[in-house]
Amino acid sequence: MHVGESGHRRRSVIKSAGALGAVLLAPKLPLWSLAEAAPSVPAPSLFVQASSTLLGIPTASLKPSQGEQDNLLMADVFYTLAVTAGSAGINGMLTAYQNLNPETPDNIKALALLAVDSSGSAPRTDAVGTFARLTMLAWLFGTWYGGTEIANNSKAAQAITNKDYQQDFIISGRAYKNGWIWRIAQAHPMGFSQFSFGSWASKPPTLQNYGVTA
Amino acid sequence: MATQSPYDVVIVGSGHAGSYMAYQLGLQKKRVLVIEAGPTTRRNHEDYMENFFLSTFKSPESPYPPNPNALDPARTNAPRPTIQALVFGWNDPNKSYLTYTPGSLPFGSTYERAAGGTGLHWMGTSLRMTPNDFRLNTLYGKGRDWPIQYSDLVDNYATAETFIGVSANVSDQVQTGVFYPAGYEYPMPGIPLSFADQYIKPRVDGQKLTDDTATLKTLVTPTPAGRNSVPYDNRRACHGNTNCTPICPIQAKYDPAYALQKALSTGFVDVVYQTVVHSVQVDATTRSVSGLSYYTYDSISVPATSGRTGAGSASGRIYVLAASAIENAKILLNSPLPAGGTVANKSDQVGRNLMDHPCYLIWGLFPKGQNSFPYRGPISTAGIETLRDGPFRSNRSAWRMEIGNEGWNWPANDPYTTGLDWIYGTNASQLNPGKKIVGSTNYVQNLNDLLTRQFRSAFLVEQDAEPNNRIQLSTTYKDNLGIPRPSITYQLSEYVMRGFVRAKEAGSRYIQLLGGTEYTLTDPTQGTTFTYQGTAFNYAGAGHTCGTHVMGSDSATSVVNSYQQSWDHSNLYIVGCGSMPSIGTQNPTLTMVSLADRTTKQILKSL
Repeated sequence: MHVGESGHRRRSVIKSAGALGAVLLAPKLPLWSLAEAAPSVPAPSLFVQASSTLLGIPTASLKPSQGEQDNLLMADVFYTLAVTAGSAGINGMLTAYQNLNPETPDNIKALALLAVDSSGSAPRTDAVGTFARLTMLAWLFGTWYGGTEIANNSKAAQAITNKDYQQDFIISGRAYKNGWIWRIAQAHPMGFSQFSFGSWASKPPTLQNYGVTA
Repeated sequence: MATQSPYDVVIVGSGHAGSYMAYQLGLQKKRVLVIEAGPTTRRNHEDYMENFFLSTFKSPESPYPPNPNALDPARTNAPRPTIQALVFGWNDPNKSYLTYTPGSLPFGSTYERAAGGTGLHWMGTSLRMTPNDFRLNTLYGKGRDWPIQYSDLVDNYATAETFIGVSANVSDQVQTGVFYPAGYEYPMPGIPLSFADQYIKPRVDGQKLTDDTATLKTLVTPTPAGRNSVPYDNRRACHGNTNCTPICPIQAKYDPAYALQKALSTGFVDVVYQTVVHSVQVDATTRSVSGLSYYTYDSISVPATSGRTGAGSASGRIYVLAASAIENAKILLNSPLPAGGTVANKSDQVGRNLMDHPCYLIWGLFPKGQNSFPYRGPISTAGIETLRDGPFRSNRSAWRMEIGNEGWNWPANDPYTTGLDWIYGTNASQLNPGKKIVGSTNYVQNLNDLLTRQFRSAFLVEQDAEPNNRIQLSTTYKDNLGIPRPSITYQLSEYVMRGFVRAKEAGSRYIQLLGGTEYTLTDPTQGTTFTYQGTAFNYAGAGHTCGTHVMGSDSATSVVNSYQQSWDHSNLYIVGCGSMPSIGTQNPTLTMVSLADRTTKQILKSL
């Protein structure tokens, strides 16, 4: 795993984007979108499987096998972010996921990662909980919720070792537009509709149309 | 620049009114200079879209420069009010461009200072005023009358609807209390009702929503929109991006940047950007305006990396202030006359009668098993307009009811709030009362069930003109160019508050009729809160700033005549929503453009 290299590359891109941004982007525009263009660490299948369990969305939908659909392939981006934010944390979460009994239903598995116990009444505050939530939220909203996580769980500041990631930011325009929350709502990201004139007058596509069988 | 080659008309501001007038004058081969305080139009629409996508705080200002998340008005060259400032420090002059007199409520609306103006993020709603809106004082003893009637504006409305490109069907709109010339048709067919509208309409039509509107017929009608229902004027048809405010990604919605581009293409219009007119110069002998004094600047950063880069005066034969209601008043109040007083202000009405549509929001869930399927389509496609005029206006202010298509995005910042609630075990949305954490398919099922049943409506409550609601110049606070910032005094009258009481009554009945569950919540910690007869209400701004240079038929009591021409200076026109002596209940842009059309025709007669 080339975690350190990835982090270094990302920062380099941010640095170089400063000059580029002055030309291409409005002043003070966050530069995360350019950073996303950095070469990323390929997401291991375990990351996609854990994401699938947390989200209740099949791996085939999260990471379609058709490589040409690169606009849909966010797994590498999110995994790169997670390892850059705190490699021990994401690795710990994946290990915890791997150690779950494979026979356990996904809803129980997800709860084991997110909550202190099966009642689901309090969030798990260790790094496993932190990175389970941050992974889930990245897929749902295209947003890195480092600041929100710390606001809800002060222990998370220890797990998110890279201070740049202790804040909230939209990962990229592409990540926003691929947020799964909008599909769960049978809708589309505000500002990015794949539908046509008048589509709002009729029922939208079903969850099954998006490959979600919940 | 401009001063070396006098123009026929010098226009301050490139928003809805200014750009429209520049284009129409340019078409008639009149030499026009547009002076825009903010930066130029986008190099590429995608720049603005990317700003929006990457904003964690998505407000009407999100796509547009300067950076709305950096709140430092004293060190910004052309600062403007923002939702961010309203939320994070409306009463802190270090954060809020608008300052306030002691005891003032926050002014809930914002505006842009950039090419295209606030029209960059208008929603597109293009309702006409009703005939009785022009006679509010005569008929109901409240607010102010207009010096013109609906019939005087009918042709201008038609011209504006053609120019903007309004989609609507006359057969729908005649039910809402307005009339049209025989045979009139909107330029495009109406926008289809949303899935939720179609559920709502048969359940609400004909039902009583308030006791004092029992004699009126409640009707849900499609909303006229400056949004293409078919390709029109070289722009695409709407694809329902649910993002009219702050930015239509495919430019199916008209915005003033189009008019500005058209104006420039006439070959008779010049525009300068980042040039802030701060005062009006008047010839002491003739009392005519002789020039507009301005500062230029380079830096649009917050804080600015530099200040004034130049100063000068622009001259022409006729001058038009079209810089927004608050900025128009600010410029005039910052323009002392040699003999005392300030420009265009013999009536002492400049800056007074500040109005908005304070909005009462309601939200809820459709009953189990019945989806609203929101977060699709234009932000609103229908409303209730038939309850906006009646004898009740003698007692309480009127409202129209806008039916939203964007779920709880406005009232609760959803889908974010509910989405996070079920991951953190919180209940900020009220939709996770058990404060449960769920993942996997339980998460999908819960969120799908909740998000697909959400709905909201907004009551746009008419605010009556009151002279004490006003903008003055701050004697303490300035922007980075050294120009005094606005000082706002803003209250809601009992008349308005009684309108809120009826809105609340109507909202709850409406939700009952839908079989829904109401989740409307008042947050008394918000600055935009008032209490009336023991009940606390939140109000939201509508972006409809009106009434700071009202028109009238008497120079002693109004700032401009019915052509938006200064009573005091015949070559000065002060245009925009600030001229409106009553705001009515409809979104005011269409009326503003119609008035601009009427004014343009008057100016052309004098050139």
